[in-house]
Amino acid sequence: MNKFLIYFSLLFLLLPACSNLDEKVYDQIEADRFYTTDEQITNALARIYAQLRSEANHQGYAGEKGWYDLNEVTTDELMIPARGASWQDGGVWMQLYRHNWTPSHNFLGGTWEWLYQAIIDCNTALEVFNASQSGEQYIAEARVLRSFFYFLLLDGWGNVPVITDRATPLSETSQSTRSEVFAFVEKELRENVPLLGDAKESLYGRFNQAAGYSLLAKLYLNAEVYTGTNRWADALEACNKVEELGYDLHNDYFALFGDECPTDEVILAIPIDPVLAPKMIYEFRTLAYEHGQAYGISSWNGACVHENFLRKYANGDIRKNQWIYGEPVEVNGQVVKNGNGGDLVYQPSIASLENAGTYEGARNLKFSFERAPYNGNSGGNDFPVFRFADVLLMRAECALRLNDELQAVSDLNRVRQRAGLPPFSGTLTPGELLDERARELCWEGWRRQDLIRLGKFGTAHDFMPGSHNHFELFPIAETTLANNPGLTQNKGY
Amino acid sequence: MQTTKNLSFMRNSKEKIRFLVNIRHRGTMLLCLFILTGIVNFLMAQEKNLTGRVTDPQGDPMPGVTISLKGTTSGTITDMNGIYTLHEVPDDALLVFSFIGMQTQEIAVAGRSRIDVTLQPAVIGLEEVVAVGYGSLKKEDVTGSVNRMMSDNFNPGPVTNPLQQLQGRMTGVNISQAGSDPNQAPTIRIRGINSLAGGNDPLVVVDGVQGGPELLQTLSPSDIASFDVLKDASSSAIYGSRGAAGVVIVTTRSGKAGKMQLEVNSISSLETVAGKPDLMNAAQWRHYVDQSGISASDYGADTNWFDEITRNGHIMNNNIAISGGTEQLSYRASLSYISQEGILLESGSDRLTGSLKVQQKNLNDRLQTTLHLNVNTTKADFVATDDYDDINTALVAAYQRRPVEPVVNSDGSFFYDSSIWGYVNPVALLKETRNQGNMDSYFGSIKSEYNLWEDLKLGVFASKRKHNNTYGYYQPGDLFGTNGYTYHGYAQKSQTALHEGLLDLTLNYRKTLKNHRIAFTGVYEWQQSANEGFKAIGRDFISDINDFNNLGNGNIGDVQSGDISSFKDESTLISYLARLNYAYRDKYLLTMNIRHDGSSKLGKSNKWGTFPSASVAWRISQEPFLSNSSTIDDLKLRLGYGETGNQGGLVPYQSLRLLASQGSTLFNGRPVTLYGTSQNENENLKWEVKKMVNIGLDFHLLKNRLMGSFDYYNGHTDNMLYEYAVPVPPFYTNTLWANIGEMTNKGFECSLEYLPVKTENTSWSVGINFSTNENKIKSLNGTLNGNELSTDLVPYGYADGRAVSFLKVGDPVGVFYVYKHAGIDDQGNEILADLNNDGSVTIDNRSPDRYNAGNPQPDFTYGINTSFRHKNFDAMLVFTGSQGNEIYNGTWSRLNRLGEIGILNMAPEAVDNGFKVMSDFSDFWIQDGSFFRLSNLTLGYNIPVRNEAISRLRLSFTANNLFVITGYKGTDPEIQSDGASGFGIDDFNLYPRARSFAFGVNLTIK
Repeated sequence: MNKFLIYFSLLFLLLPACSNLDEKVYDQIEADRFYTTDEQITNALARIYAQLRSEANHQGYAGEKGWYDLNEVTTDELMIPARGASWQDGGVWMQLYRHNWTPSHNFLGGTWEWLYQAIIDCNTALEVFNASQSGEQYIAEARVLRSFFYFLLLDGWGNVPVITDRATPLSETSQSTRSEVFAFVEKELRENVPLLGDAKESLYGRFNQAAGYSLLAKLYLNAEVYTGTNRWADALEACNKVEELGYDLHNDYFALFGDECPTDEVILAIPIDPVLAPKMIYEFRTLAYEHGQAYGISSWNGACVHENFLRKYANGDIRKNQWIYGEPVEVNGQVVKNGNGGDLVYQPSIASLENAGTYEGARNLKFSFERAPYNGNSGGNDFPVFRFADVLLMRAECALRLNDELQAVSDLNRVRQRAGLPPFSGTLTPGELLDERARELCWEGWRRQDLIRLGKFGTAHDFMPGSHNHFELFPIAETTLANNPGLTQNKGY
Repeated sequence: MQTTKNLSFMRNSKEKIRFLVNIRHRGTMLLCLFILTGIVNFLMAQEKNLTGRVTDPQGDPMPGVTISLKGTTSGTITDMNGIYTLHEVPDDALLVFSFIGMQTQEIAVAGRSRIDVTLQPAVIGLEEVVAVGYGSLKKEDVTGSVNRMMSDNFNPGPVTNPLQQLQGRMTGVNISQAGSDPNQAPTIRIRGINSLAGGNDPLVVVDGVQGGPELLQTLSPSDIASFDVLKDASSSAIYGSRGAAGVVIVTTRSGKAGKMQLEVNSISSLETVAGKPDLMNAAQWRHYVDQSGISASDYGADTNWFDEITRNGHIMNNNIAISGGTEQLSYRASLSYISQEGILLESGSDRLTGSLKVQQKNLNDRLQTTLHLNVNTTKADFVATDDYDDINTALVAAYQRRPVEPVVNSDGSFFYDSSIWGYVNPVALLKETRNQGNMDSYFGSIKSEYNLWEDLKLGVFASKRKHNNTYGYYQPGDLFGTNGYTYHGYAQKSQTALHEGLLDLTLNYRKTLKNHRIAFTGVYEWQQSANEGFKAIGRDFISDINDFNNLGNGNIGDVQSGDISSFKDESTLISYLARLNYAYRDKYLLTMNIRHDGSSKLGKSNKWGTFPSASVAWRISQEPFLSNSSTIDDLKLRLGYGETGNQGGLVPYQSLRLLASQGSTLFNGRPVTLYGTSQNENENLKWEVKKMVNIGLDFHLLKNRLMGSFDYYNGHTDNMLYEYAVPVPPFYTNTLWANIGEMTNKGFECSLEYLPVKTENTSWSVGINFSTNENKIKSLNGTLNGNELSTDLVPYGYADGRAVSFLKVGDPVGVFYVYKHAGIDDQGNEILADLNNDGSVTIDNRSPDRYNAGNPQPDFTYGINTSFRHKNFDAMLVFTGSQGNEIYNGTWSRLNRLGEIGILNMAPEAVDNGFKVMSDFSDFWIQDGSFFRLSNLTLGYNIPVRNEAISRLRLSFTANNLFVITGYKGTDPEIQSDGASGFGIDDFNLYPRARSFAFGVNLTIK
């Protein structure tokens, strides 16, 4: 009996040994066991660049319903009308075009979150780089990248929280004023841009000094909108820095939008590959179904432009060829048939925003399938974020504001010349430069910012009845606000 | 004598321990047991002193009956002729005759040398033994809310999942099957929805093996002997960490000593489509299109697309089982094959299940060991879906394709209209897509129980189970509008596996002292569960011939990031638990549990939780003032309170800061796999706790003619696990697993069984069960690490991409929180009511113009069953019903947009309703989902057979779903009701419901 009890007790004494509940992680990596090799440290930087491209909905330049659409569909250069049952999507596209979005517009929350995720990725990377010798060279790059994302927040929302640590408590995430965010971005860029590399080819797809100065130029160019005080001279100086770093216009306009961006003009590109780094959807979204089928893909028959926009182009402007309308569509030398058996022709006129005809609206071929490999999911054209034509037009605008019309016309004419146009004659106005930017940079993501700077964002056009200037800032999304009641909504919403 | 000496060596426990210790030292215990068993068997064949014959009430000899001398361990069993012999039996000895399923008899020898005995079958009912977890109790001793159902009472017919045998039959147990998908198991909810994410699936325990409802799918329905359902927390607390959502204990059938038999069951069933949607036919469509002047293509056909994608289905259900044994060794082996061809084209399943259960007693019956092995292999043809967009699924397409389109072109190829975005030909989709699964699962268990001395038993239970599923998916490149078309052929092959291991060490002690009965159970339990799998995708195939069987046929240049992936996780649960049952004079009963549970999934400092429970019962009928009552046979009042921990739905690793690969990008011109933060970690994750009070009354009245019970319960879930909304920034993603909210469930349950006729030749019974459950979210807000969180109005279910059901504080889970319909304007746009009178209707998820427009959870559910038997004829009817639940009919709303009739088909009534475009979703689409269904009608006849070898030959006919009475406008009112996101919403997601007619033969050979 006693012996039995001893053995029995022993059995139960063994039990605590079987009470280990530590988790063994098999398919993910505990954070403190990563970022130990150079390759892993570099990965933290690659992660941030991937955010810039991020193809998920409501995210980066390669994603739909995110930053790009908020900055394009809200303008006259990109319209997504409903076509019957297609593109209704609860009215989200029409709301953007007409400027009657509300805080519940479902692009807002995700885009905000994407920007802050990218910023937290920057903060995480900086934590890693600061803790490691081999990460030191990346610190300036991560800070400039973070500044880029804050610049977008500053531009889109204005008063936003500035967080610089990976683990910031909720209590320390109150909003800074728009001027404070401006000052933060300015300081970060001034300190870090000079520390960036100056190579072009080997830093393709990354922030080099020229890209940093381009960003600084954008910041100063819009300073009056952000802070109430213009900074034209600073913007002009930043543009000069870019030119000093050896950039010029590429001779062929359409070659800018091919498989890889030429580095003589394109300062910062987002590398896109249909398989390895998707996606490029702008061509999918614009082509009619039959047009896509001619390329062997399912296109979406959505994005187009109103004929009024086409009127901005003079005859002979080669950039007008990025728009297709009015004549039968050909692919590989074959005329494409429409759904009724006739030739597929895009009509530049659009009956209504609520119910446009299937083939109405001119389509854009900037990121054409003809110029880069593609598959059923994505095109392969790289996306230019900053390019020298933009810098020239920014400098022209600054010069004009600083009453140096000679410099302004000279910069403008370099762009016009490449477009096959004669030198500009007459009196140069900011409005003319705005139109030139539209002709040159349409569908590249800058139109909303440019319209706001020129005070024309709320002007009525096409199916847009005109809007109050509170629409120049996006509202903080209903969901974001609900999750963080400490945030103050932008005025007017 | 040698015999006595050998048989009785166990009397002296010291000796026995020494023996055990010795053999343990030698390390050959198992071998010794075998040898010992042999010796014992050999030595038993000795000369006789007392003899006799044991028969059953029919006079047939009963082999395998145990005869023991009371107070000793000596004894014997009857031989094949029912004859027994005993030696050196004292004249004053008391013989105990026992046999499973028969009443035990004690007979005094009184000097006789021959004693013949007729054993009577054990009376069911009050004497029932109920499984209560890690042991069993006499039903009369149960203090919690436990229901039992035995196999002879199951819903008969073409059953493909064991739960169908129980559907509509138990209070508080809601088993629901949305549609008749051969590959969709019914869902089961016990006493409502108690958790948002902690897990609402009850624990399923099959002969000790624990798992979720998926474990049931691996069983052959005909192998099941009984279900015991533990409903209240004081009962389910014994399974603490996994039992918060209730426990279904399944006992499988075992061999019976002395009854060697072969049982064959065969059921063949025809399934027809029970409910069809009301859609425009070609003439109606043309008429409306002409009338409204819409330009639309007319292809001249007259197609009923719903008919084109459906067909008559078949179910074949064959089982064969052999069983038998002696009192020391019994076995049962079975093989079951269930084959189903579903009513949607190309859907079906083939399931083969084999089971073997062997029980053996050794060491003079002190050691009892059960081995159980169950294997199942299922081949599934799933309904073809397309993950591209829901508009591409077969059902959406079948509802929305215009009736004027042909299914196939004149050249035999499938028709499609390329000018319509997202066009899919549903017949082509179903016929051309391969969507298959091969699911293999097994479990094996061993249970050994050793009777250490009189009142103390030690047990070991160990089991291992594995579900290994392989899936293949292929869509050819010419299947317009699908992934296949996008990628010029799209193939996917994936595999997932679940491994689960379990070890229980148990100690059971029972003692009866005059008026006191005590039973104590102590358990140590260790469970480990691992999930793993991999997936690979191939694209761009120049030939479709190999479909998904050779992914290497795809184009290597089209491999995308994420096309190759794998995963694995693992979690561990450890528990210590103790239970005490105490009865005083069989009148006052007490059960107490305490359980200390640890889960690896929880935060470092919160892994362990302690959960107590207690319940008492008073058998009023045992009191002197009722003991002579002629109306009240039994009356028991029960009261219980219990706490259980829950973490079932929690994904592992949520408390850790982790990085994971997140696709690839081009960096420095090279593809780079990215690593990034994969989740917000919460190092404070802890147990969700459910507390429940239960009051119940059980009664048997009128000489056991009227039986029933009433239960009231009030449950409260605290520290509710959910993926709460958190702000970005500072959080990386916008949700975080945390313990914040509270939820309550209150309900009343009533079950009654009445036997109006009960004679030898004729019996008739009527049973009614009725259950209510009132669910309410008490709170979703709270503080997390000092930060106020405001999770409320969480979108929970969508129709056509728009949120219609919500989690809202103060309302039940999934409440429909939508706009109020206020008419239709001239343009055919819906007018919504401005409920807050601010001059406009705000369109967003938190709009003040939304209101609580309905509850997807029923006010009550009920079942009515009646069975009638006269001599060899029997009949059974089972009605099931649900009352007061609303359904959001998103399907119907999409068939009511006349603006789209040029490209899509509509419901005929759309013309009267007048919607052209949906402005937003309103209460117009909320419909009453109450129903009353004749779910089962069975007629049976037992053919009297003279042949002695055949003990039973039965023919039966079953009709399922003969009619359903409902006001609901969809094809069937029984839709997803499991409480998971999107429940109660009909959005083209309902596999059609079948009406089936089955013919069955049951043959038992001795």
